[in-house]
Amino acid sequence: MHSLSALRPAHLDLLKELGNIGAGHAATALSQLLNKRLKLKIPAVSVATLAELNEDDAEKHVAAAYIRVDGELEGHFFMVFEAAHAEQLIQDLVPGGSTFDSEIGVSAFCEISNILCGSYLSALASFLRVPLNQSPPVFAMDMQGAIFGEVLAELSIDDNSVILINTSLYDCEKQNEWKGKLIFLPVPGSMDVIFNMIEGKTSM
Amino acid sequence: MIHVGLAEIKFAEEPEILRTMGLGSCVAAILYSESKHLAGMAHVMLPDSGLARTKTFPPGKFADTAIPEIVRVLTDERRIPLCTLKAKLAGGAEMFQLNRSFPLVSIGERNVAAVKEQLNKFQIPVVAEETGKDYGRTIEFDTGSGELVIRAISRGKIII
Repeated sequence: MHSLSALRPAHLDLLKELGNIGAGHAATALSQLLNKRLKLKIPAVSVATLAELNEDDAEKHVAAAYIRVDGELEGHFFMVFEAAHAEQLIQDLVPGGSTFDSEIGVSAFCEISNILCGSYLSALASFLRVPLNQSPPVFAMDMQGAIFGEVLAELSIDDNSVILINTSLYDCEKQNEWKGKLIFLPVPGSMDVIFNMIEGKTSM
Repeated sequence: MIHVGLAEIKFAEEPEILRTMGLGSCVAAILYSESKHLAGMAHVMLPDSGLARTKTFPPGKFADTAIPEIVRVLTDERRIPLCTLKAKLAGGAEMFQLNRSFPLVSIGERNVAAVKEQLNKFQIPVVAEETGKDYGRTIEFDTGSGELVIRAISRGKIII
């Protein structure tokens, strides 16, 4: 895989399926952690040029945890909640109304991202039959575009476009509804492991 | 309002406004002519085109290709004397406190330094900047007044 422009619909379908498997496991993990029912939206896979990316959501105030993924498949994992929704999530998890003003709020948020990324990746790893590793999460709360900037800069070294596998999670209970996003940006150069599967090749 | 996306370069004249949203480690470099009310803005992502592993790339992506491209358009195509150009800069933040996950260490700071080095080569003065620190910025450059408005979450607006 040398260029993202070579991707065919079959490739995108497979990426969508990976997003579905990963986010499905992550939603189950979060559901158990919070003891509430969560809804999962069908993942969206998009290939976008750099210029197309910095649009509507660039200024949105979000809380995000970032985790680097390496192994046979490399990529970047983000858990993103709108700032107000993130507060709600933390209050659901940490009784006593902890918020992001406290260390405990940030640690709780990072720990959730760690668990979600872990279940997302272990689903991918068993599906692809390759080992995957994750870095400890780092946290930021600011404009979404600014938070994604560094990772996009790094990905832009290899390509003028990026792939986003984006899944939304919803709280089903009406009273304190929140929405979060799990976004995985695979490194194009490491995606052979995925595409060998549909070519019928296997490295094992 | 003219939107400048990642790695893009756009030009505008009075009464247009050049805008870029959610700048993190990226740097917005604005080169302008005060008397002709004409400006070019680049949304620079990386310091050096030597990093590129693609055959082609938009010139706005790297500091060492973005600044020469803006200078070329403003001086060759728009016939503005080089010695009258001025620059304003914003961005170049470090968004994550624990930066060890990123192989591009201090990329914001390096972007700012690389843009300044290029401007120095062309002897274009940086008349104002709001760079570094740890927060995202949305900026608007008014080609008429030459003012650069910077907004950050819970910090209000700054005009430079």
